Amino acid sequence: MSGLKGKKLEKQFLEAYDQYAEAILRHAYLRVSSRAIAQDLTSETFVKTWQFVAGGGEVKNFKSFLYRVCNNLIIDYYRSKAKTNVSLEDVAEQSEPVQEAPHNDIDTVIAFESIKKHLDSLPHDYKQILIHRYIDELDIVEIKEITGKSMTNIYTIIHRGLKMLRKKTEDDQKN
Amino acid sequence: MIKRIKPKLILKELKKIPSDEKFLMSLREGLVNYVKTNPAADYEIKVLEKTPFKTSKIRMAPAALIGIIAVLSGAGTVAASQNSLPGEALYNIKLLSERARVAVVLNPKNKADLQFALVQKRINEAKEFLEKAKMEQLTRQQQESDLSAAVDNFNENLSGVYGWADNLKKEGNFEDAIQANSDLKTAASVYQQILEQNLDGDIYEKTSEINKSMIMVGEWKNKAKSKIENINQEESSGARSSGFENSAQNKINAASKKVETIEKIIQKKKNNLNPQTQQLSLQKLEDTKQILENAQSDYNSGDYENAFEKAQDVVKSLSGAKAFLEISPEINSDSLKNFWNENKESDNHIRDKEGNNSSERGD
Repeated sequence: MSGLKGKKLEKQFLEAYDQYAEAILRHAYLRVSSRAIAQDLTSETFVKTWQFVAGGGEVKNFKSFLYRVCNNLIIDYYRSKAKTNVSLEDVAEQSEPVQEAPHNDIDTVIAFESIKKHLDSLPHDYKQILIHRYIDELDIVEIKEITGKSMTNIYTIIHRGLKMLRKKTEDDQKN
Repeated sequence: MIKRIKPKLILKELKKIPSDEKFLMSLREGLVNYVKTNPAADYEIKVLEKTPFKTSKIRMAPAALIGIIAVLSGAGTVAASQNSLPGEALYNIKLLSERARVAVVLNPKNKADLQFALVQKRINEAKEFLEKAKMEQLTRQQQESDLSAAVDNFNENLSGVYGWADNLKKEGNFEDAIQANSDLKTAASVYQQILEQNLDGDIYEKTSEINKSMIMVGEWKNKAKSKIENINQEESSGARSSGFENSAQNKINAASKKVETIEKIIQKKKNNLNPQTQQLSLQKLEDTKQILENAQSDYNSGDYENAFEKAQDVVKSLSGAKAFLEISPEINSDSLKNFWNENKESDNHIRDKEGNNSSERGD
C-alpha cells in the first residue's frame, strides 16, 4: 500500500494532469493531426508518467517531463506507422482539418489555413519546436530540456522555421 | 498587394483550438482509478529524471527486477502481482490493475486491442495454472475455485471485444468485423477446450459458480459464430442487389490479401508453431488457394454469384485460421483436431459448392 509519500505523489500527479492535460492533448493533436490518435497519446503519456513515478522515478518538473514522454510516444507512433508502410505524407494527407477558432479577417483566415498546411510540411523537429515555442508557449530552456538540443540550435530552428513558413505562405498568396 | 505575413502571430492563433473537455474529464476519472489501483511505492531507490525516458525501454523493464525491488521495499504489490496465477494472493490485484488500465484507454479500437491481449493472457495463464495444479495435485474443487475470477475476467474482456466487433459491422466494415468475431470465437473455443480437457471430462457441477461462467464462454463462441453468418448474409444480399460483379471482384481481392497474411504469419511463426499446426495450416492454405483460383475463374466466365460466395467462404475460413494461429500456436494436437472439426461446416459448404459447380459445368 502507498504511504504518505505515495499519497503526496498521487496529488502532485493529478494536479499536473489538471494543469497540463489540455496542453498535451493540443500538442499531440497538432503533431499527429488526428483527434483519436491524439487522445490516445495523451492517455498513454499520463499512464506512462504515473508508471514511472509510481515505480520510484523522480520527476523534477512535470511539465517538461510530460512533453518528453509525449514526444517519445509520437516518435514511436510514427515509427510503427513506417513499419506498416504508411509514409508520413500519407498521414498528413489523411489528417483531419484542424478545428480552428473563429476569425473575422478574411486574410487572416487564409493565412491561418496556409500556416496549418505548411506547418505539417516542415521537418519533424522544426514542427515540434515551433509548436513548443508559439503554441505550448515554452521558453527556450524548457524546449532544451525536452528536445535535448542546444539553445543555439533551437534558436536557429525557430528562425529558419518561421522564415520557411513565411515564404511558403507568401508563395501561396501570390498564386 | 501582398499582405506581410506574421507566422508567429498566426501560430499563436492555433492555441485557440477548442479543447475536448468531455475527453479530458473522462480521462481524469480513468486516471484517478488507475492511480488508486496502481499506487506508488515508498521506494528508497531513486531514478533521476536525467535518465532518458524511452517508452519502449520502460515497456521492456525486466519483470523480475521490478519484483525484487517491490519485495525489498515491502511495497509495489501491483508490479509484483503481474506474474501471479489464479488462486495466488496477488492475482486479484493483477486483475484490478488490468481493469484500471482498460478504463484509461478511451479510443475504442485500442481498448478492444488491449482487451483482446488480456483475453490471450488469460489463455496462456490457464495453461500455466493447470500445469501447476497438476504438479501440486490440487483438487478439482480447488482448481475451479481458483479459476473462477479468471474466467469471469475472460468473459468481461470478450464482452468488450464483442462490442467493438459489433461497431465495425454497424460501420459497414465487414472484413474487420468478421476477423474480430473470428478472433473472439477462436479465443472462446480455445479457452473452453483447454479448461475442459485439463479439468477432465464432466467437470463442472451444475451448481458451481464456474459452471455459469463457462456457459457464458460457450455463449460468446456461439454469438460470434452467428454474427459471422449474419455478416455474410448481409454482405450477400448487398452484393445481390448490385448484381454481384463488383462485390465479387472486391471479395476476391480481400481473399487474396487474407491468403498473403496467413502465409506471412506461418512464415513468421514457423519456429514457434507446433509441427502439426504448421502442416495442417499449410494444407488448409493450399485448399483455400485452390478455391480462390476457382472463384477467379468463375468470375472470368461471368458467374459472379458463385465467385462471390467462394471468395466469401475463403475470407471466413482464413479469418478463423488467422485467429487460431495468433491465439494458440503451440496448442496440443487434440485441441487442434477439435478446432478444425469445428470449422468443417464451412469447409463442407465450400466443397458442396465445388461439387455443384462441377456438375453444372458437366465435369
